[in-house]
Amino acid sequence: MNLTGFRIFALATLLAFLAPLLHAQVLQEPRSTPGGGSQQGSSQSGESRAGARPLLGGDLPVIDTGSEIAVWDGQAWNLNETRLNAQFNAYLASPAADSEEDLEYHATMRRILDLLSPTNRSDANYREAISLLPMASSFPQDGDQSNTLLNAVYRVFLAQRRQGDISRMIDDMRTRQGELQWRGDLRAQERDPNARRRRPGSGDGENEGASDQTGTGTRSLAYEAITREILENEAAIKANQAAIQVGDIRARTEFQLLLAQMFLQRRFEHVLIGCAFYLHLFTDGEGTLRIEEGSDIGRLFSEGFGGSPTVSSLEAAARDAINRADSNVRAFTYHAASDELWSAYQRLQEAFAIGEYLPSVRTVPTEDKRRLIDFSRAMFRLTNAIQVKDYALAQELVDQLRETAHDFDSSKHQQAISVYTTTSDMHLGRAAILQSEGRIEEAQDEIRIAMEIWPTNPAIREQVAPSMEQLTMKGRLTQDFDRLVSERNLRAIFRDKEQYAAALFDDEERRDQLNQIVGDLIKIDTAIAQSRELEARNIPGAVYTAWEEIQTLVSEFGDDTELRIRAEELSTRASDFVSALDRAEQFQRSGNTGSALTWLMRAREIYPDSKRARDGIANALDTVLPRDGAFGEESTVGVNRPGEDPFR
Amino acid sequence: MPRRAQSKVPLPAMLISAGVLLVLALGGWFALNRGSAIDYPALNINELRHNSLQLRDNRYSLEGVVNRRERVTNAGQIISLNVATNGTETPVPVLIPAGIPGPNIESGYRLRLVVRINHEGIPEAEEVRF
Repeated sequence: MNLTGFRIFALATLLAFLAPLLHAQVLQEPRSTPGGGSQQGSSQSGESRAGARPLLGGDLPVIDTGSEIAVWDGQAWNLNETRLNAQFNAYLASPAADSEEDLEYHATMRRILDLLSPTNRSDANYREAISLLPMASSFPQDGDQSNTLLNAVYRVFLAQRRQGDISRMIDDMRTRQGELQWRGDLRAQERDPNARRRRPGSGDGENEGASDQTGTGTRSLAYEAITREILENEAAIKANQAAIQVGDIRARTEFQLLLAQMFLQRRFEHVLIGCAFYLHLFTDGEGTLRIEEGSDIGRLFSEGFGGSPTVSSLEAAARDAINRADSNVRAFTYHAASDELWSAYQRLQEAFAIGEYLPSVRTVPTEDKRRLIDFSRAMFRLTNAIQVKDYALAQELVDQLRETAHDFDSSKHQQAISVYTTTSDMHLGRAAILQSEGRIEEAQDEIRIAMEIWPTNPAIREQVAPSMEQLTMKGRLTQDFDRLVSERNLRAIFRDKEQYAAALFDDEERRDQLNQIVGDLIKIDTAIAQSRELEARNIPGAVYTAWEEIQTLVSEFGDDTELRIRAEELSTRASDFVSALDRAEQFQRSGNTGSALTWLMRAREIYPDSKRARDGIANALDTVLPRDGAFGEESTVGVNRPGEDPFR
Repeated sequence: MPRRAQSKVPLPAMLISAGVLLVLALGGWFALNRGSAIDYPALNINELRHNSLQLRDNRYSLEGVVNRRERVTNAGQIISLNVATNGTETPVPVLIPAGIPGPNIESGYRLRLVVRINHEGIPEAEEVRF
């Protein structure tokens, strides 16, 4: 698209934005003065200049041809998005305007344009064209634009008829003016009948014959009345001449503004019809658009057309817009037939932006538009997918678009998808390495970055879910560990020691606690196993040995169930020995050393290697006969040297 | 061949010598068994095992075989004496204070003792004999 073409397209596109606004615009009627005249209805009106807000706001739109973004009134509009896109999508969803009614309307408009074409212009054709306007307006496709045009033409007829009446009135007034002047001249030449008798030949030759007396001649009241009436008639004539001038300007301005409005609404066929009527109604050749200089709409036209806009240039622009729209539709048809939906979409969008009401645009087949709808939806979903960073869906849509639209340029989308997905995967990879090194917090930071880049990265779920499960499991195991410790249910901890070790690896206090528990239970289990092995050997006294080994742990780990059960088993097996020791202990506590010593010796007799009996005897002897250490001869059992543990 | 001289001890002298020897033997026996084990009741081992403090300050006779010397000090020694009771032998602690005259005490020796149950409920020997 060359620069001029793009300017037309950009202007038309902008008009597409403005069209809804312009539907609400009402042309301002010039204010009538109390005297029946017009107070300047043109754009030169100072009152309108100082009046309300400009028609199209305070700023001109700036269109960036590279990015196809228009900036207007402080807001940026992407030509491919927003309202135009919504209107275009609505157009695509609507059926083709190829019904009988549509065809009849288009034929009517074509007939009017033919009648008004430069080669066919005649009064009869104009009259027929005017007679067809109500018919065209009866179609809903017309939007009552033809009727509006007809009314404008009628108002010009009325204005011109009124101007004819005023001209005839001016002629009448000029005739009356001549009569008054004649009467005034007569009155001025009127003589005083007493003038000759009073001083004949007095030397006043210049005023001779004329009356210089009050009440006669130019000094009469009648003469003054005639003079005054002449002046009043002259003023009235001037006023009527001004009224004719103002009425003409007013009629032209109203018509021009209507044409401008239709142009802005992209009713280019109506613009052509209106321009033809304008040239017929105003035959003096004056076609300059009377738009206030410096106003937004004035600058819009002047910058759009590159100079002062005229009716002719408006007509030329309308014809150019129609041709470009038709050309774009032809290009669309070609691209659609070649499955080049991306180009087809762009060409039809341009055609729609230029002239959505033109027959060539309205009659695009429904099937072709349906294909563009699917393409448009895929593009819309692709844009949204990239905006929400759903690159998996974006990739799927890119693949789909490549298949359906052979000319779809996916390079930008593909690049964005590749960059972001790869970056996210790299952060996840680093997170995996950090996690394996136990640097959990750093790994979580990497995962968070990966999520920010690509929130729906499926690898995140695969990697994060186990981590989250691990964190959840860790919390649960920590709570279980504390509960089991408080309940002294150390066996439960010992059974799942591997899980607890994994969960508490970074909790130094609980980890030490777990190590202690595991060590103690290994010690208990080892003792239990050894006691069973001893018992299995069937050696005399083995059961007593096993009982004593278990009993040494019971005092320390009496809350261990298995240890208690094993101790009970052995107590039953070694009941005589255990009973002797129990009785000895009972007597020892009551201070009956003699009986205690007797039972201890009985226990030793049952199991001579009993450490408990030996220790008990030694303790009892200490109360009865303390060691002095000076005597070298002692028994081999139960005699300790000073400072020596006899059992080690 | 010389004739073997016949020694012939007069019968009265022989009777007198036998009488003297008999007197000496009886005197020794009485001297050794002078008023001890015979005079005190035997220690009830079952009573001792179940409540020795109730026997405190009582004297009993006790006989058994030395099992082992549990502790020997300057103040005396404690031995365990296996005492036969109802067909079984029960080890009984006996405190033998220093200065108690009597024979050597070694494992396996059978002893007859007069004991007094002291404040700890331990039989404490007052007299020890084989």
